Amino acid sequence: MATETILIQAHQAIPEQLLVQTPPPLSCSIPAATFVCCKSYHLELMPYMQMLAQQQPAGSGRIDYPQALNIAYLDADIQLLSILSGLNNLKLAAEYHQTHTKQHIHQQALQLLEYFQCTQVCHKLPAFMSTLEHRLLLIARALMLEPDILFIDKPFQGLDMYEHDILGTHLINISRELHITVVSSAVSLAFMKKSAQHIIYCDNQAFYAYNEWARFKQQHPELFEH
Amino acid sequence: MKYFLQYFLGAPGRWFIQSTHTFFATLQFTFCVLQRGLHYQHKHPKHKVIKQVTTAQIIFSGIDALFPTLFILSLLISFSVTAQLILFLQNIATEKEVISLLTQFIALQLSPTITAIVLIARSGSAITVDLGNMSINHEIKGLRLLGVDPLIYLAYPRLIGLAISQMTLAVYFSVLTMLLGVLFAGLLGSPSNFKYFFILIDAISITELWLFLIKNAICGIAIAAYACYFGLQVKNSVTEVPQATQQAIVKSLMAIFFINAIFALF
Repeated sequence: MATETILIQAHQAIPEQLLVQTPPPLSCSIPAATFVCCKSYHLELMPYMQMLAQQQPAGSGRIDYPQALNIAYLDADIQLLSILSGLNNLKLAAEYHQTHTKQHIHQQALQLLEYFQCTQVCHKLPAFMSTLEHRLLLIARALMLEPDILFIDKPFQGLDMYEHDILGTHLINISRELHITVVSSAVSLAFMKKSAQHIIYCDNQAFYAYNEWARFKQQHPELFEH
Repeated sequence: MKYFLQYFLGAPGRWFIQSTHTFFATLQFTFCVLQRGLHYQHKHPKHKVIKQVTTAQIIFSGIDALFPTLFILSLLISFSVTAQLILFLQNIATEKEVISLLTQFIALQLSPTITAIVLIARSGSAITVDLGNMSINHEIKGLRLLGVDPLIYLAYPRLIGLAISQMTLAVYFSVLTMLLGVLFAGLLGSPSNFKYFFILIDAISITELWLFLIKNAICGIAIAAYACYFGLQVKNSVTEVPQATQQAIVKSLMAIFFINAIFALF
């Protein structure tokens, strides 16, 4: 079963950047082709996401990657390259790394634009795109390198409810249709209920990992009081 | 008063230390960019991405500058400097000395300097602003996350593009300034001055031509290196962009005159 394969296992890991603050250590397993939601009202999760995505080292504890992984990481700060059109932005990294032939990369980029229903931004510069189009193109650009796992920090920042729903549907589809593990932070409880197959929650004391919504709700009733 | 004097007297020293530090940092940056870029091109010889960015840079810095900027400048300088020099010098010097002075002063020294100044104003500043804004908007961070080295993708093509642009623009400007100068000298003075057209062709030796091209290539690389270095130094605020641009322009200008002074020794 593809969903049984563990991609990342963290054992009492704390990001190096946070070591002096003694935050709670993270222990969790991230299986393949699942949608993982990370949530905390007390802690900034970005350093933990970066640590899992190999963007910064673990200051203590250990993170295991049982198999070689192609990891994509996105956060709310990252922008498309302003001097390139939407299509060229998508093709850039794949062409730079020569993942496939030029024609194949072009076709792959067009297919992703169609998949995300963004063909209208093909020849647009990022300055003329909406926030949603921009966010979708960033995800598509990361997917061009065919990652096994996509970390996306604060994906819904700056989006209205309508755009939130569209992006949410796309993120769920990435894990279910493209079989890419998606790890997302800072999502609403409603979205977590709808999408999450695994939940990593942190209160002000520790991290908790759940593989079903019901158990998460049962263990943290204080979150649902209002 | 004491502190003011200490600060005032220390200023030249501080300026010297800072300038030396920037010079060596930019030199190291240049070697790093060239080494990574050449290694990448060696690894991917059929690669089009870098060639595309380099071509775009040559079009922006080289071809777009040909007309009207450099054409009008060459027209004005040929009229105000070259033609006047010919008309003045032919009364006090031999034909050979006039030609020698024209080639040494106008073609080999003045023209590359003016071309470099135009390149700094047009392209150097634009590169710094471009890269500075990319840094602030986290576009460069995005590139790094995709495994794209910004030094290879952004800096290397600009270094090569500006080196090629500076070489070609300097040749274009020198030739145009000399030929138009002779034309104006013929029109303003005596038609016999048209004889310089034929003498000019043989006036520059192959060694001088090579030195001229090498000097201009180095000038182009220096302009791009300072522009990229200061552009990539921008980190957080938009207020850093004009400061970086100003620094890049000033340091590039100094580098150009420094390189010219060194090549004047040969």
